[in-house]
Amino acid sequence: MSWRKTILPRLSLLVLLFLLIWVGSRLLLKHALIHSIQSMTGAKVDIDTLDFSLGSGKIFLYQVEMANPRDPMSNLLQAKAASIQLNPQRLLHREFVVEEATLSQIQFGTPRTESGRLIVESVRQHPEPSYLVDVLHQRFNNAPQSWIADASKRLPKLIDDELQSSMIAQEIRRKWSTYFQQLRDEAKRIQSAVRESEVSSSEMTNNPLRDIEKYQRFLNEIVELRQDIEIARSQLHSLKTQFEIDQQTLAQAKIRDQEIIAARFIDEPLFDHDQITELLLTDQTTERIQELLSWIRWFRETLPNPESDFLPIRGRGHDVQFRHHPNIVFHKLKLSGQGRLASTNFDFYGEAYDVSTNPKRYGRPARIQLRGNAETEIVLDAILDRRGIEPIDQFHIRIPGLGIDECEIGDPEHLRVTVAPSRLTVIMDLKLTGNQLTGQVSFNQHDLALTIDQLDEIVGGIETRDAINQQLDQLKEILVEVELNGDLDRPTMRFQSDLGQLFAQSLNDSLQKIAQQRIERQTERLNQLVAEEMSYLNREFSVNVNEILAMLNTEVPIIGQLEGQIPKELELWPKIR
Amino acid sequence: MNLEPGWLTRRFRFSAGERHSNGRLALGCAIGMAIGLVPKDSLIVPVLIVLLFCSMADLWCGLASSILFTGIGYLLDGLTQKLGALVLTSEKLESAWVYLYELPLLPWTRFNNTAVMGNLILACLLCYPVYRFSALFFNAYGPYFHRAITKSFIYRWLISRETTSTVEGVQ
Repeated sequence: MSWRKTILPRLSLLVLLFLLIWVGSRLLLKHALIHSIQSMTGAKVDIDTLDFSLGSGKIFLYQVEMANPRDPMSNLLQAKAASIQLNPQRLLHREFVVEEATLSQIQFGTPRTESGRLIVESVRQHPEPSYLVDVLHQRFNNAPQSWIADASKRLPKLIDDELQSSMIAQEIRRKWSTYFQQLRDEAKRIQSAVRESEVSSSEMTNNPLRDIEKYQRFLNEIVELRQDIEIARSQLHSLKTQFEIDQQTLAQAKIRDQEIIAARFIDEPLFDHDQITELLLTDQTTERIQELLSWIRWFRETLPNPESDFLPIRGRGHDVQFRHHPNIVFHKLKLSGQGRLASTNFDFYGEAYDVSTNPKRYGRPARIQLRGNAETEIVLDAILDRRGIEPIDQFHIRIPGLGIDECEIGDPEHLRVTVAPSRLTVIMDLKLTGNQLTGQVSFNQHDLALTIDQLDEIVGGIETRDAINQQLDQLKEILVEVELNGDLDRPTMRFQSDLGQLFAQSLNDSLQKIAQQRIERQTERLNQLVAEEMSYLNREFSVNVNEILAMLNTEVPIIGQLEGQIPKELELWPKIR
Repeated sequence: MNLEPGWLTRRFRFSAGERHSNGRLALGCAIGMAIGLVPKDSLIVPVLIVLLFCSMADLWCGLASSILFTGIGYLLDGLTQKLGALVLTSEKLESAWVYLYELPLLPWTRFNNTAVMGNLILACLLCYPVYRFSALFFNAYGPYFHRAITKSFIYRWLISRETTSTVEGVQ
């Protein structure tokens, strides 16, 4: 067997095989890379073109698509071009350590024409997404619509029936009316008795001896009538003292009423600035917080979870790990592309550090620094720590000078405020441990103009509105500090703002002024009421006393005349008899 | 005019009478068996292919053997994976595996995979028996195969085409 006949053809065949491999290396590497990434991530990968430089260890990819393992009809990400600088030393150890990679023109969530589901099954089934509710629940201290209405109840308000003066005046009036009626009846009785006595006297003869009994009775009647008149007169005269006592009672009641009215003046503020803040800013702030949290949710959902998403494909056998290094590590990943969020397209660029398919093995959290350019520049700095049992994510988002259209805040019926177009700066610091949320968000709305359009009449209406509007003219920015807690799907928030303080101060001033005015009006009304009652009682007293006295006085001369009709010798009647 | 068959047809010829030819056929079967058993995403496979080409082994036997043992390998997966797992998880060998895994290129062999390790061990164990059995087999049944092949329609067709091309080349 000679070399020419045996070894040479085989070596030639081998060289030919290597040449074929070299020529088809791009295709082979492309398929090997796709297969490797798919094996390690469990997500379908498409690469249109691949080029590489063996000397520098660089790989260039064009039109890269990675399917979303949770949604096969959409891409997790799509990049128009990518360059990967691999560490050749680590590559010899079957480790894809990317020193620097650039993904340009990235798009997230783009639809796929064909399903991205891999035919082969992953080692484990994907867990069901835990996100169920996207409603933000808030906790108000009070219902905002109710406490403006409550203010009316807290304002000092007395009706006449509640005044003691009024009740005592009515009582005195009733008492004196009854009393005068009795005296008037007595006077009338005396009058009628006098009329009867006149009739009796006319019927009597001039001779007392013949009608001695009648004369005797007539005489007694006259004496009784005179006594009655005297009694009535004395009673009327004594009424003056009683009337003065009643007047004093009424005056004392007035003093007590004045004290009650003064006691109802509430010196403490009726409106709490926190409540006003909630009334004015709850809806707006809630909406903004919901949007920001929807960003966070979208960001978390878009980012693959190494634990659940990057599952190796089930192949022959199982790999026994002898080294605690992840299969793929990106030391530095430059990103740029387009995104769409809240119906807004935006360009973004930035860098990600220490991204790996197995952060637990890698031992470092991933850091992402992104800058987005939409209407304004959005800054996102995130630390995504997936090393522990629960993912710990920290987000710092800064959005300066976001344009805000004209809007209305507050309650349409009680307190409606128009906010002119302004700029909004948002700074958010958020920490998520698992789904547990803690953090602060500040909304600084500047270059703004506020105008109250509607203010409830209860708290002063137009007068108060104009007063507050004057103060609002000087207000050029609102700072709202929000504290977030709870679950990402059911967050709770507490916020405070200086805007509520301004409104509450003005409303309380206004309300106190209204309360003072009401007290003055009620005191005035009380004084008027008592004065009227006094005047009435005086008038009634005088009229009635005079009337009754007049009635009695007119009878005195008649009685005198009747007395004159009785014979002088009357004293002698018993002797005659 | 040379009417001897060309190199392609010579690949089909089982030279039963020549001892060293039977050895080449048997070596092809042995290496092909290893190629067939070991999972193809291991660096061991291209190394074995290079070995097949560089050795005096018969390529067609290697190809046929690798195809046959690929199927057998899948059938024996349960057994080989257990064997691989047993070896890879052995505490005594752990430090050796860790050392080997830290060496360059060796991780590409995927020896840390239970299927690769199991099949590699099986291939090593079967290498000599397969070689010996194949050699005996070709010694015993080589002539029958030779006659059967030379009488086959395919062989005659190939011979006729090669002879024609050789004659045309001479003319």
